[in-house]
Amino acid sequence: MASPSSKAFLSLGRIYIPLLGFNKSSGKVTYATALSINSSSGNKGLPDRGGRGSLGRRPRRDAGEPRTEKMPVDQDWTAVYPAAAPFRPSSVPLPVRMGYPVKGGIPPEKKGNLELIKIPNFLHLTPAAIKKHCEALKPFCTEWPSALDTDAKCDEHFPIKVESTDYVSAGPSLRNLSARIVHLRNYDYAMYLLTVLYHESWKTEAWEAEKTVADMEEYSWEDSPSQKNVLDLLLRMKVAGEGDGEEVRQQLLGRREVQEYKDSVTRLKNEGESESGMVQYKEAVKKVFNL
Amino acid sequence: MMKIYSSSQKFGHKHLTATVHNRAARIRVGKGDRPVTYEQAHHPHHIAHRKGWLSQHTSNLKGEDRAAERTIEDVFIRRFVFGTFHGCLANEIVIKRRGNVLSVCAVMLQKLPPQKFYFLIGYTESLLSHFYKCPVKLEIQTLQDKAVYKYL
Repeated sequence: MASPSSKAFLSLGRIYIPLLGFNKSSGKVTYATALSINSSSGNKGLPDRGGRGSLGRRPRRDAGEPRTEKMPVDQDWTAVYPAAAPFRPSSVPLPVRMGYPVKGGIPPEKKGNLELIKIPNFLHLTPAAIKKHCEALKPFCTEWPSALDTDAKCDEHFPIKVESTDYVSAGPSLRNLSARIVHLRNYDYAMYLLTVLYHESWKTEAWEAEKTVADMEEYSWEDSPSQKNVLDLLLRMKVAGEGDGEEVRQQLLGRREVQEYKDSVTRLKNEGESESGMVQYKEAVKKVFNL
Repeated sequence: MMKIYSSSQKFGHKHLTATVHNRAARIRVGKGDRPVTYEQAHHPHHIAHRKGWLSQHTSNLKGEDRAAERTIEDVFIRRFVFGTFHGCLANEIVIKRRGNVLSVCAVMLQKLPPQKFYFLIGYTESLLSHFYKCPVKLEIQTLQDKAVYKYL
């Protein structure tokens, strides 16, 4: 290297490492922060002489002071750690110590501390940084509608839910194989189908009026053989007193035991037989018979 | 290999068992003139108690696979970096994977002029990126001397 350049960088007072034929400005930012402070630079004026000179006479520039010494208190921290990066002791102006202390000693300091590098750090996610992120995202967002303040309201107005799964995965490939397993659904087609079904369900055809008891999806107690039987039974037990007429039947229907019996029979028929269903039926029957 | 014969009492019988003490990743106590780093001084059973992990990836989580491939990659990268920056490594290499970026963090000694460092860093990054088909980033810190934890 010619001597004018070596004079130039001494006078500038910065550590300025001229690179042979390399474009200085391309992509070396990460190196500049990590290396240029801590490392020594050989005397570029005389590279050959330095290595092969007399023993020990290898002129060597000392590493400059770490960046932490030059940091103002109100600096922009997001410029120091703009993205996730390992811990750099010369960029973090905190006197942290980490590690198990030697007997009678203290935890080792941050310089050269591998433990601090191993752990993930969130130095790039300070509140100031997060604020900046939010500010950058704001132009793309709209306000949440204030009327949708409860989950129930959201369900009511937007009953259709689309589920998507995110995966945490680290490896050379950008793709995650488990993302190929999907519930087969074409979103647009599903929307179309749902709309069609909704409209269709409102239309009533002429033949729907011919629905008989056997067609019913659910069991209804009114006008069923069970209702007739229970009312006949009660009349024969002479609970109501005398007479057999429409009003007597209506009055019987209103009684609590009959209602309970109705509930238990409806439940058994609709939900199928179950332990609790049978117990309920038994209780209802006992009450009807006044046992 | 030291073999220590000890007698153990089991169910009232005396047996002679040969116990061989662990030798993995341990520097044994010596005269007191050998400097060791924090990493070397702590034995493997101190991992997760006093030591962290040198390599981080998601393959050991539930439902994730390809852990073996990541381990092979790690071994290769360690040997590669050790050989490329021969004599310059101050401590073990820490490998972190964030998404598909492979971040290799190393602490080096200032044995080479920075030009050579830059060249080797660029060479390592481009070679490993082409090899593994993913972005590989080398984050280097340099020290004057190794950080000594104690003398064994």
